[in-house]
Amino acid sequence: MIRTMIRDGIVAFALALMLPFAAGAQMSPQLERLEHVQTPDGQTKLILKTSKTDPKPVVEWVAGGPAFMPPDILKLYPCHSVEEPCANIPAPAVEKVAFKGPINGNAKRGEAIAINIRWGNCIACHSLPNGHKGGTIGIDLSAYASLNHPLDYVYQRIWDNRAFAPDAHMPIYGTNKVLLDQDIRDVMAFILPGK
Amino acid sequence: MDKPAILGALLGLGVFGFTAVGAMAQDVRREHVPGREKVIPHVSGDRHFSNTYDSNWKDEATIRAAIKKGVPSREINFKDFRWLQKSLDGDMAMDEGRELYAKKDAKGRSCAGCHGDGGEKLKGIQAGYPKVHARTGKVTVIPTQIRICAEERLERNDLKEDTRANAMLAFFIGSLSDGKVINIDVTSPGPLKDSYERGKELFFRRTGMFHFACAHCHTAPTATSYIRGQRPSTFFGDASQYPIWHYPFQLPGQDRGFVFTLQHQIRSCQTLSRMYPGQEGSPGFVDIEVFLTAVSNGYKISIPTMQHNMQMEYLKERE
Repeated sequence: MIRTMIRDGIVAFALALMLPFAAGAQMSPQLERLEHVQTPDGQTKLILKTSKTDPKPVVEWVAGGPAFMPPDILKLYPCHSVEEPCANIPAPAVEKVAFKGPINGNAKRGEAIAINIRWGNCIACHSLPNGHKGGTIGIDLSAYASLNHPLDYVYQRIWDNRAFAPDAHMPIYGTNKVLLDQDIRDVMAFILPGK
Repeated sequence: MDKPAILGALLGLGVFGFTAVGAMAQDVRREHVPGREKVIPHVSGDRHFSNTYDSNWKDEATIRAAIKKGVPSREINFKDFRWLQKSLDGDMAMDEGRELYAKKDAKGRSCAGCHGDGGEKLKGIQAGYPKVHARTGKVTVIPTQIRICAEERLERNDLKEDTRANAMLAFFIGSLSDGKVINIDVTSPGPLKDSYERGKELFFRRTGMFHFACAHCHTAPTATSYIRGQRPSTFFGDASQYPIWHYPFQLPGQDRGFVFTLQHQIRSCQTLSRMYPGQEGSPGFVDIEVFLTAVSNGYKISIPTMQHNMQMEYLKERE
């Protein structure tokens, strides 16, 4: 009897130790409050819901609009604060994603996402097709299509670049819900014309 | 499940609760940009990073020689115009700080009343800031010291760290240390060393929606490359120019008030990088300022200078 007790105790103990790691592998729970919505007039909005179950918006932000990202949304990610709850948000785990072609993207919308400082802002670091001169940190993407990278490679690079380059200076667009699947497809349609 | 098994599971859960709380308090999984271990609290530490200090910007003569050789500004860590050259615009904006400093309230009290008409008693103090506040025991930056002074001596609560008046006063007070060599001790055990170590961790910690660290922009290969319309500097020696006349970012008011304290600069960087922008004067901000000041140890303060490497086109709204 004692042995059973010890055995179950050990099992529960082991499970308990594993729990934090299991939790770390999923999308961080606070990001479940963030919803992307397409409005009828073609805008993309980020809406911070009160909670996962209560859809009442705390704050809204129009992608590509005039406003900076609201602090309430930025609080969902790790921060520099010592005293606020975001101090204890762990770094998001690397997300490896599968991509199913074809791209099915809207290149015009992708261009808007890529060149807007308050949306995807790819141009901050990259030069882009259609003659957009940008930053010099990332590689020049104006003829990216000619490199013939596999589509799933490009998709993963945008979704979570850490899968290839753990320390590179590039946003983890998909993992942190900066862009959704369709947004990334649109950007791919723009930087990979003819693919 | 029989009774002992339930007891066993409960015991296990109890241990889980204990370890989980412990884990949450201490072991938050963080990611950092590499390089923290190479940092030393002296401006010459740049040798392990951009390695342009000795050849291009370690003192006035070296900067002049580099300019003469045609070395681009970005390889002089922008010290040619942000440090060597004083700013007339900055000096004109500073008049507002001078006036605030001398202005007497209804009871005849002013900053000048304690610290001397021209700030004689504040000469050189910025070279030793941030420092541990004698009474509170907390590490304190100059804008916070201004706020505390105003609250306690002048009974004013409108000089918070992020206000225009505070920045203007900090700008004037900073100028009283022009030419002094920064020297804060972050190696002897104590609150300042602890703050430095925390600040170093924060500077290299990946944060925010984009999952960037301060160090992402301010170390190679991003430092000196174009990001947006700007070229970020290496972080060594930068604290020596702050507060700085920082065109085109403006304090409230439509005039020449383009003054950035280092606290304000940290917040501006966070906002542009989609990190949660904290409060100026808050513990995390102070830690980052201590770190940035310590890596400017051994470098001369130069105030007022200006920063103007913005390509403005990019900030305009795109149709």
